[in-house]
Amino acid sequence: MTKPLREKNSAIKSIPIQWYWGLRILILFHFLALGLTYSANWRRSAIQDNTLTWLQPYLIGGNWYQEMLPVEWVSDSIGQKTVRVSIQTADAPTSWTPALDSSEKGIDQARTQRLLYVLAELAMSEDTQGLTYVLKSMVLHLESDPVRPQQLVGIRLERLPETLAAPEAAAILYEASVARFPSGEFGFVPRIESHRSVRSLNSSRGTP
Amino acid sequence: MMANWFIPASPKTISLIRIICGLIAAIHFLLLLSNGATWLGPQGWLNMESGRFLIGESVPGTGSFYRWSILFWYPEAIFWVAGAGLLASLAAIAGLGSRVSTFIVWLCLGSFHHRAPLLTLLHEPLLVAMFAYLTIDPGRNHWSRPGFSSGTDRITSTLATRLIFCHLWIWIAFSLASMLATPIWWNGEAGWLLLKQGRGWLHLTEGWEWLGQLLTHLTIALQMAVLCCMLRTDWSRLSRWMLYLFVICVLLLLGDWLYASVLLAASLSLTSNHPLPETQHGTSTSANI
Repeated sequence: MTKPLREKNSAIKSIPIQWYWGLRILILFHFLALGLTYSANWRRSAIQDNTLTWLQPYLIGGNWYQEMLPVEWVSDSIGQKTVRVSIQTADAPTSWTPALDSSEKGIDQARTQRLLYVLAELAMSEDTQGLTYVLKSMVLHLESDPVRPQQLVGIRLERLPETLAAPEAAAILYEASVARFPSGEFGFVPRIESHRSVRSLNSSRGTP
Repeated sequence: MMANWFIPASPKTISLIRIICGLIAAIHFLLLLSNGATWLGPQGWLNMESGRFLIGESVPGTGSFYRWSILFWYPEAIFWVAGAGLLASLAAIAGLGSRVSTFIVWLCLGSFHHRAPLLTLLHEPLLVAMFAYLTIDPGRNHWSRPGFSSGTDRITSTLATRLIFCHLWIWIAFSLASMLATPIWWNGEAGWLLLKQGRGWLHLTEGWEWLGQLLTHLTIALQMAVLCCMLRTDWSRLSRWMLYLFVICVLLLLGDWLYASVLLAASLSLTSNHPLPETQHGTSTSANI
């Protein structure tokens, strides 16, 4: 049973008016900050950027700051394509094996897609440092597979066409050899520069 | 305008929201228990070093300093954070230590989000926000107790429900705005593209482009309708039905059932039983939020 409105309103009157105003201001501030954050996901002005930076302790600390918030379902050109990471192993150094594919079905499909789109964005924006960090992490992951231990000699990031009937139309975003150093560390030696959509002569499939 | 935010209401609605959100969080943490280490562990797809780089550590203006995830210091703790989140979610469902358990769920969800913000999925930001509001009032403590709906009326129940309501409105508004910022949502291509990718529950072959276009326009129109209907509490039933139809579009096009579930949980905040402030003549005021 709900109480009569008159009784409910008397409950409100028992709270100091300053509390209401304080709460109202806080709520308005909160939703204005949220609106500012969400709207900054696709366009932002300099003043908006500065305000967001100033609000970072509240927004980030309170978990409200959703940079690259995925409210968009499908938005850009990358989001419409299949992105794939393929590897070359020491056992089969001439053939490429798909390691991660954004079109793969499964419970991890959404997360796989996000990781691969981030990787593709890094390659497209020629952020080699960022690309190297993420690819290194992927190589370490693939090499630490306890079921199928393998040593990688090459890695490739490619954007596949919408129809898989023409695989030769795939655009290679990044391709590199894995270079091992005596210290046990490894790095990447690019075989093809990013944005290249035509295969270079010395990296054709199946040719040593 | 915000007068009816501070009127005591039954905690029934907010308790239901807590239970449904608890269920979604439990599934989320179960998935993280099974594959969290594969993604974010020391040997995961995105190890700590690359994670730190992607949040822009030591780059001015990125705010990486405020990312407080425990997983940055103890990457091996993934299993424990996911486990704690799962236990707290179950406690939240059962109504045990509700405010504490909802806070722990929020903390664990945040730990994963801060560790890899770029891997955030569609349902996560909304779920995290709902748990933040649930800490204000998680509803009744023991949902299994007889007379579940007859708890003591309190202001915090109204406040938490209203905050979820407003958050949902802003979320849908910006979701719509981001869609309309791209041409593919205007010319109907977006739906067909999603259907071709096979992400949704609807699998169509060539020749069904018109259905993809229809679903695209329907998705946009439904979001607009929900936003308009939500502005009036006397249209709350209509806004709820519009939101249900929108959820069906989410499932058909995206197939993201976790996102659909979070939207359904948030739709409970669109109730018409919010008390309205009494006017001087003893009647309710007009029903704007």
